[in-house]
Amino acid sequence: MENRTINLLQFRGNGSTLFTGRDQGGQARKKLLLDSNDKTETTVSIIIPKGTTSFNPSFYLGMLFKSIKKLGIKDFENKYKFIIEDSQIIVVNNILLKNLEDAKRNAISSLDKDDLFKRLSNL
Amino acid sequence: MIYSKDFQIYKTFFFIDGAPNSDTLLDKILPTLISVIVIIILFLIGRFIDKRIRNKTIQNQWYLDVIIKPNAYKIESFIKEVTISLGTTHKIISCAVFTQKNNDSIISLTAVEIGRFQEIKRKFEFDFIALINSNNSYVAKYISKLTRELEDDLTKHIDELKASVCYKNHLIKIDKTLYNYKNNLFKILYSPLKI
Repeated sequence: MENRTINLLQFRGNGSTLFTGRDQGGQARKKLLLDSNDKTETTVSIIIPKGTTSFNPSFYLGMLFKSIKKLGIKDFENKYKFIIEDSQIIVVNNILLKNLEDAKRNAISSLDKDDLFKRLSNL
Repeated sequence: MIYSKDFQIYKTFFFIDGAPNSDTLLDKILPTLISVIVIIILFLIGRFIDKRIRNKTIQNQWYLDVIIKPNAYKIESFIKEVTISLGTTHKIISCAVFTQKNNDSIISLTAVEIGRFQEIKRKFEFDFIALINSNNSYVAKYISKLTRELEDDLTKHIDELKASVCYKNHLIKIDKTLYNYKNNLFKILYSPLKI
């Protein structure tokens, strides 16, 4: 199975240490052609670059909500993997991993009611 | 006197000028029957509408008395906690910048301070938004969206502190952001109760 690696550094604003904004996430999605990627079997490794202080749910939803809606949460997690470049435990464990959990929770609750039951039962 | 065909049918239907030529029982009771059916239908429609209005009133009252009134203080607590946390953040980061700590240390500090704010936000989501969601997922969805926008604004403010020279402006911006959030939050919260 083919794997594709994406480094998100290019989408972090100049001088910024954050990933924020649903629109910005949507632009990243367009630029990375994730819509067509979802139609293939290619798995995706998303690198959150070193020096990131927050990966907000808004950016995550803008970039990946369509994929979650299309694939379902279980298939989405099999296809998309996150790699955190930062080695500091405080940043990785306490902040960025929790950001990703928050984002996933927001994504699940954003799904339609009918779809929500189906997605949760796949967890 | 010459009558038009339509007028004759009208007269026959409403028994003007006496009974029609035919003397069947159905012809005699038909108008009464139709009147009764119409009255019953109107009565049922009225009952249905009354029931809907009554249910809506009960639902709104429950929403106000059980969901909003006992939990509105959580919004104030959240705003207060965020304000205090950001005040501390401002001191910590401005001190680090002033004492010229290296860039990596400042970035780590920024991450920790953003994380601290996000813990407060998370607690608010579990304590309040989840409760609203149990009653009205539509309102909860908009509150979640508003909270995500607040998170974006405040994390940007915190991120900008490491490069900032005028911290007073940041505090003013933060106050304005929180005020707008609270205002919009209450608008959304009370929206189901609007007539």
